Amino acid sequence: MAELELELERLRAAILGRDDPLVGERLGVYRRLARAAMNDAIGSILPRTVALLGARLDDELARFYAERGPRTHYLRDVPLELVEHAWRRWRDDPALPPHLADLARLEALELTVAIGDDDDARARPELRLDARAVFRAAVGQVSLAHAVHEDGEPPARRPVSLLVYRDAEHALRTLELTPAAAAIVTRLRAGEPLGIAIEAGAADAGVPVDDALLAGTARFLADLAERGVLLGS
Amino acid sequence: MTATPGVGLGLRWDFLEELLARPRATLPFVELSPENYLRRGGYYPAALWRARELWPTLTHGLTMSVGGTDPFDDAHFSALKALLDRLGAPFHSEHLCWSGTRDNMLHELLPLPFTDEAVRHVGRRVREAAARLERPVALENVSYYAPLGPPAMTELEFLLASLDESGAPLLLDVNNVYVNSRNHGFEPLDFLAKLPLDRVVELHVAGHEAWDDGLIVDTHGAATPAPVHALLAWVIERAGPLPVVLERDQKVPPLDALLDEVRALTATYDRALAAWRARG
Repeated sequence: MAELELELERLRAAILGRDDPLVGERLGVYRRLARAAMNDAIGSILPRTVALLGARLDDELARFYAERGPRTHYLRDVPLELVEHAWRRWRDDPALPPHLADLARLEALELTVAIGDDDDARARPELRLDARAVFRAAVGQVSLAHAVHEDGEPPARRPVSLLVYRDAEHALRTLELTPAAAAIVTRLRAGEPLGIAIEAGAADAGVPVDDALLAGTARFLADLAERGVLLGS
Repeated sequence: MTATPGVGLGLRWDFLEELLARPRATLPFVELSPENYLRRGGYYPAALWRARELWPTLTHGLTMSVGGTDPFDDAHFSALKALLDRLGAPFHSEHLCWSGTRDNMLHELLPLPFTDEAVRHVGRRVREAAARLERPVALENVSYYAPLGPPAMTELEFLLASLDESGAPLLLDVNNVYVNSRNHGFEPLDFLAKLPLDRVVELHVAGHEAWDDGLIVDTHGAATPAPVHALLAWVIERAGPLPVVLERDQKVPPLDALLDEVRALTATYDRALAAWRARG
């Protein structure tokens, strides 16, 4: 298969490479078509990120294609691969808007939740202190340094912890969590029993386990159950 | 390997919800691309199963990469087989092309070298795919814009050899035949006349667009033109009843306009079918 592999690799490299070795060649139409399809998917899934990248967009796309390239079978997931590849560098690049990486991570999380598994076969246990809570599959959580989920432009620079979920009508919803709620949810989603998650989560957030925290946590979990984020009762 | 004959429509998200509100008699069947529904939950899979309750469903893949040199993706095949089983797909179809190598998936239908080595490779891969999916995998002739590497045979010879080597049925895209005939200078009816029409299990029709440099590109971004209607008729007059899928992926018009196009294609199909019956 040596010749076949060589020919395929030649075109793969020509499509993904920074420089276009096919200028003037009819075969170059494939570089144009493949990159257009992936660029369209990225623009569709990450519209605000793409707008914020502005003049840097072409260079960032070229860098993604050349350094890693898409690997997923699913065109819709190419934008997730781009964000995973680039967001840490974007965060640390002073030439880029400071909230760009946060925005990209939120848009990527929104897609992940939008396509998250359905819950048909998942158990719906009663919520107990000594048991693990079961979240619906289409839930994601992210901690960011900017409030990119709000309308402000530019977004306020403040730490936020967001819970994104898909409701029964398939619409995306976003909740901003307090530090204690975020820590408890993180531990619950990691599989810790409720009692331990509350105790350890409070310690993570630096708040005491007192009546106010317990009452607030009970209201919060009831609200999550009402929203369908927590399965069971 | 029975499939509903007549002119159906490739399911697209642009009109999915609106189509679901139409009567069952609107279409004889629909075709979908599993990659748009696999390994995901939410609105679109839910809508897919609503569509399945209304219409028989054919499946047409996008990223199997039949000619690719990476091993098949086990997780993808497992999910694909589960979906085809649940849909009751009589066969699955894929393109005679490659889409990925060296772990990259390029999301484009890329041309294979027209060589004996590629024919043997395609044969092995299609047989493996059919065994994994436990149903026939039909091969679709693709539009191609330039040969990859020095060709050892013509496109037609490559297609025929690949069908023989793989034992695959043929999904005949008559728009692709027309596009290739324009770009590479051959007579499309001569091409069709040399195909094993008894192995055709499905037809695709679509429109195409001309780029500034004169290249005709299979964009699925325009209505099916008269020459493609004529090729559809030519095949049906000789092959008899088959499922025909109208594909539209770009510049998607309102659903009513698409259904008008389905009706126009159905008129072409019905006239050709009457001629096939008259032939005895």
